Amino acid sequence: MKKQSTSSDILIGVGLRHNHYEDALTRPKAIDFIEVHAENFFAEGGAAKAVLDQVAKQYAISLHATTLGLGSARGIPKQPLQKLRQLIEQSQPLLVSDHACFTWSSLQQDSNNEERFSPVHAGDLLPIAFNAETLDITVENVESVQQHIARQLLVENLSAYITPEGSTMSEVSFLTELCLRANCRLLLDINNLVVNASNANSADILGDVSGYIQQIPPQLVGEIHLAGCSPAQPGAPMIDDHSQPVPDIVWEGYRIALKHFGAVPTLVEWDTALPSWEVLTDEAAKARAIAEEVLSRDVA
Amino acid sequence: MKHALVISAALAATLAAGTAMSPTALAGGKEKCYGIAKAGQNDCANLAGTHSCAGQATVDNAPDEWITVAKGTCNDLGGMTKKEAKTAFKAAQKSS
Amino acid sequence: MTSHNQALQTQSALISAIYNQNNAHSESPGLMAYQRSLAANAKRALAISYPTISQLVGDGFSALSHEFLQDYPLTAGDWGEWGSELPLWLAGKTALTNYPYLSDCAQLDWFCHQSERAANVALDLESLSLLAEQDASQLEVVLASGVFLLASSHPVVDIWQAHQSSQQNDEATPALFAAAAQSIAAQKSQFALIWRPQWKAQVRVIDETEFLWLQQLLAKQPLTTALDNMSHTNFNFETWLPKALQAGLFCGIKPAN
Repeated sequence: MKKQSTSSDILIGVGLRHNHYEDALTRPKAIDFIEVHAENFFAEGGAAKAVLDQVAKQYAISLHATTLGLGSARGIPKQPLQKLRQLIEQSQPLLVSDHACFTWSSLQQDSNNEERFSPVHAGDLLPIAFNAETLDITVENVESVQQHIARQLLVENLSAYITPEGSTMSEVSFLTELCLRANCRLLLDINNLVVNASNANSADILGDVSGYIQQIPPQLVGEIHLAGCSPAQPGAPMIDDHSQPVPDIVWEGYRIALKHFGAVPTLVEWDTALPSWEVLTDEAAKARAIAEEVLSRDVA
Repeated sequence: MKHALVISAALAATLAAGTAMSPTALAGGKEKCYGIAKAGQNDCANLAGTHSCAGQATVDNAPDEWITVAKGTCNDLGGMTKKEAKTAFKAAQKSS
Repeated sequence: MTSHNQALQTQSALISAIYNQNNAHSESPGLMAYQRSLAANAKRALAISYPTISQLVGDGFSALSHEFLQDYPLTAGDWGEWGSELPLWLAGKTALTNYPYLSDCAQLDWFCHQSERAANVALDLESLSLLAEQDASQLEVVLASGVFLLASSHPVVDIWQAHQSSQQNDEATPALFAAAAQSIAAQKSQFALIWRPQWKAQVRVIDETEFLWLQQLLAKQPLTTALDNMSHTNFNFETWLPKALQAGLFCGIKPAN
């Protein structure tokens, strides 16, 4: 049974980056929430934190963390968790999320065993294999994070540019199992599905995206990400650089997602080659128009 | 009390200075936080390999070669010319 | 989670291949994408933390950040925390003897970066009354956010100011660069004070007396001890305190711990 929704239910947000700090504060738009990268506000004080405090007075906040590495086999250090918890206390976010990836590991050294276990951060979102072992790891990490921050976490699917060995299940089964076992929810990034299908040379990208969406129990999805990226360079994978307007195929995927999941908070992400604040918020308005159209038809 | 005189004189002068300052100045001036905040240093984390993010880094340089390829303001400040830098670099390589 | 051996190994192998520390993986386009991304993230983050060094080194900065990353991999997730070792790393570069000021310039950049991330301190004028009410041996001066001191045998403040001006496209830039070049040629040394009245870190040259005084305050010496330690100098608390208030350097008085 599909979730019953009214058009007014849907929350639409945009990602806030440095170029738009002034615009967001001085030219408010009809957007329901603002998403920021949590780590950019981990400092104890200073101007960036003051910006977030002011933004939080005008908009609901979503904290999107990028460094926890929920699939890290060596676990997540306490220090970033404490910072995240402090930031949550200060900004009272609507949503808190990170990714189904690993970030914490150690560098292989020839001889020195001590060195080998000192933690190193990837500074990036690195793909994990999907199997029973990594599922246990991710469940354990997500539970520990949720305990630490006293909040439910949203876990995002990744764009991956290599395929780690050892997968025994599909990404969608892995994420579904994860949500059920760890009591977290999914942040479904539709462009990441498109990027992965495209890099796998899929003959039917939208069909793959739709098939993925249909396998997810609707109540498990807590947020949707929409974005666009540059076309693949010759001999290189398509990179999810968040540099473009949301392309038609992602809007099509969004329609399918709305029909399946109902009114899920939706975010437009744009990180490189940033457009004007107007163009960005117009993308959010477009998402809202599509959501209202699909959801009103759904209810009727 | 030790230093009592100098402390009370400093107190009086500071209270006078504080009274003379405008409320904005006392509140720390009128800088806008959004005008000062630096770009987020964690915004490229999920943008693997993009060229637009920060440009491609040269990954196959010899150790310390960046010193000789430096074309920044070091040169304007009268540190040394590129040729001198290369000579110095080679000398350092030999001695190390 | 020591039992997860397979995943530990797989993940360590991948991160090592990306950091370019082992050659077990063949170079795939995907792996190269991650390697480029790491290099680009490192360069971008380091240039934000070290704006003066980025300009001083110019085109060489990509290679510098890549090499530095090999020696000092990211250990906290936040790129804003990465790079504290750069001044020391630069000081150890024998090939840099003709640019001996780079390491201290890096130290000044890092202090500014730290200053702008430091906890906010609010001005508390009313706390001045403690000076009249309590024994000064039990009191401490509260300074603004992010105060740092740097004693350099190079004209670091002149160099920093020229680059700040250049970043803001200020018309004074050529004159400031000329002045900095002259200071370098004259082998001028400088004491630098870094502090944050509100959001932007400020930097100025101070004399040795004020340097010694601020060292006392940063060491959280009680006011009378700090003044005792300055008795051999011409330091004048009565003129310093109101000026420090006006500069946003002095934020109040508090009971000593």
